[in-house]
Amino acid sequence: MAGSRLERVGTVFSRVRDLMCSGVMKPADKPIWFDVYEAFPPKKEPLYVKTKTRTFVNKQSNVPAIFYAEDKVRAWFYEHYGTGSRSFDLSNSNFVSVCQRFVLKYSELKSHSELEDSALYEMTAKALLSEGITLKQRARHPVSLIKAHVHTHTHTHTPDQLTCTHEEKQNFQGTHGK
Amino acid sequence: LLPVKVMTSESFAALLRRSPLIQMGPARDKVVVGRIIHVVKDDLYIDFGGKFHCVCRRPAVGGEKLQRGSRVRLRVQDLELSSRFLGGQTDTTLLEAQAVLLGPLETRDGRDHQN
Repeated sequence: MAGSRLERVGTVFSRVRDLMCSGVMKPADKPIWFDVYEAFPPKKEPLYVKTKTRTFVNKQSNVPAIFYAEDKVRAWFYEHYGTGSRSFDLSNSNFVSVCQRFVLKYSELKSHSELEDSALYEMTAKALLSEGITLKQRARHPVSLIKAHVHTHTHTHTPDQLTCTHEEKQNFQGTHGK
Repeated sequence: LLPVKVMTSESFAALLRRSPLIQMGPARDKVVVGRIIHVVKDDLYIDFGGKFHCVCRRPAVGGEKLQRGSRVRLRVQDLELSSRFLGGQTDTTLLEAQAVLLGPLETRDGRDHQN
């Protein structure tokens, strides 16, 4: 490359010198300062040095994650009952979903009794069933499905398998509709 | 238009804690109710109350009934389509959510309400 007019490549002097060497710039067009610069070069070469941009240090760690106590119950609910039978209405700030009802019932039962978590979950499911909300257990992970399949041959219908009948679903939608 | 609620003395933190967004948890595969806000030929811009709206294609079956203002059911895949490109310092976002259109919102009497 004969020379570059880009101001960040080399110094002004090196650029002009190269342009003249290659013949792009005629000797008649030599700038006045050229000989002066050649005779008395500056102490610090006017080279453009790119300042080191700080690589993105993880600043996100300063923002704490928002976790509530009832998130544990919600996680259990979504893992066992899937996404819930009712669609969410996010625009309504007073909306109470099936999951939220579960959480409220759970915290209510927790304050009254001293049972451990797994037993409390069963109790909550039964309590919701008595109120008319049926929860359909969703299909589990394929590995556990195989195990469950093997077990269902030996066991009879367990009370945990709460299936949603058509009439109950309609009644549920009727009482808890908007 | 939704009715205006009387201002209570509840704090924002309390309101957030019992809001349907927090109740929903992770947005993946959740069924939500949305409202069509804009239509461009076969593209329906649907607002479901999340951070962004989503754009869905008009379905072949029963698509003519879906106009601006129709309420529909969606299965949310992502609340925000964003990801980081190689060498980038921040994520690049599309300012859009991703959802699958399930169909119009069926009410008890079978009609879908048009707001």
